[in-house]
Amino acid sequence: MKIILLKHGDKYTANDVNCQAEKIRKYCDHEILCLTEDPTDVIIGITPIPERPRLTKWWNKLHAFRSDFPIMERCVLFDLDIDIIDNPFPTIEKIDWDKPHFIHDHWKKDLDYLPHAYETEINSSIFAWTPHKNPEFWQIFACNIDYNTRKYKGIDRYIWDQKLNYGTFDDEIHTKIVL
Amino acid sequence: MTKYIQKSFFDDKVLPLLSFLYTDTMYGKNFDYYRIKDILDQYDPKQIECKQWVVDELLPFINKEDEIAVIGGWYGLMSHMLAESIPNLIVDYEIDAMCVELHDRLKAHENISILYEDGFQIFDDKDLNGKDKVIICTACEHIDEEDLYGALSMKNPHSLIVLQSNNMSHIDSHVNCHPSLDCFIESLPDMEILYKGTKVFDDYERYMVIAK
Repeated sequence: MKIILLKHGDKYTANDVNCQAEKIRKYCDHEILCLTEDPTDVIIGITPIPERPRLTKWWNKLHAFRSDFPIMERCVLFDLDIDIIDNPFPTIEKIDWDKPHFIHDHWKKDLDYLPHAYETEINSSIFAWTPHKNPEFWQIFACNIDYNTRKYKGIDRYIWDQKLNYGTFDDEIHTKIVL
Repeated sequence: MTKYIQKSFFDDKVLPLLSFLYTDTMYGKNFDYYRIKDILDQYDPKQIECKQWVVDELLPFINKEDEIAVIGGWYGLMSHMLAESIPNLIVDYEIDAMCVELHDRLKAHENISILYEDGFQIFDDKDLNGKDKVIICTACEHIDEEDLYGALSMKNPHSLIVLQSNNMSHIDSHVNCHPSLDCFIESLPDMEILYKGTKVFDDYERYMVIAK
């Protein structure tokens, strides 16, 4: 398994990456890689964000589902702004790796949003996937990137609204992290 | 809004289209709700003002035999506003099939031709890349900087190009913004600049270059 930390643009620094990697190392010995366009001062391994098509911010997470994603092993992505307070890996490792898994924000079930709010109950602050197994996550998005990035405020809403085939981690994940 | 566009266009074209979309999204899956918002965004007063800016600054440079190409025409506002002022053939290129279909429903002028094609193919086609061509792209912020540079590098040196970009880098779909007009010009191949300007709004700036 590989651990991926995404850094794009200037919202987060190399120090944020290095610190998050340090926290994750307390709970696993998997290789940790930074998916970034700017590796300056990042002290962990790098996997470059593909240059084409150019995406902004969190939309770069979707590169993980491309058929040319350079990593073959199972992967878990952690956002840089989540606080890991207990070992999340027992929860992560027991998923069905045939489909991507996300955090379920179950409390959002009770919110009374209308369909065209495109609200979502999933959260990609942590997600786990097997590269090259679910190319539709990228392909549907890539058919109309400009429209999709206008329509959805983030990849969670895109994945939810497109009714893609995903799973969610056991709710115990919420006891291991602070969003 | 009607300062630049005739009220009859909204009465006869825009409002019926929005009504059609509302009804269609109730019963069908051809379109989604967001198309209604996307079309409304096209008619944002700032969008209209910036397209009128193109018309005002470009008209002195246009000859009656010039063919005009609009790249990334969205739902056709740029083409429509040009056609309100000139009879030249206007070819509107768009790679979003839904935009093409909805633009066709909005079309009010016979001199507009709408193509579901990538407009940047113009630069790679010796028949299309002619000197009597005016090429307009008001959405450079949506186009990769290197792709734009590469395409413009192949431009016929006699053809006229009109480009707009902006400094709204916080918008997710904007992959090629610039902090100033000079930075925008620096990102382009060397061309003879015929006009350059900045339109300052309360929350952003839009830049325009007319060049050969």
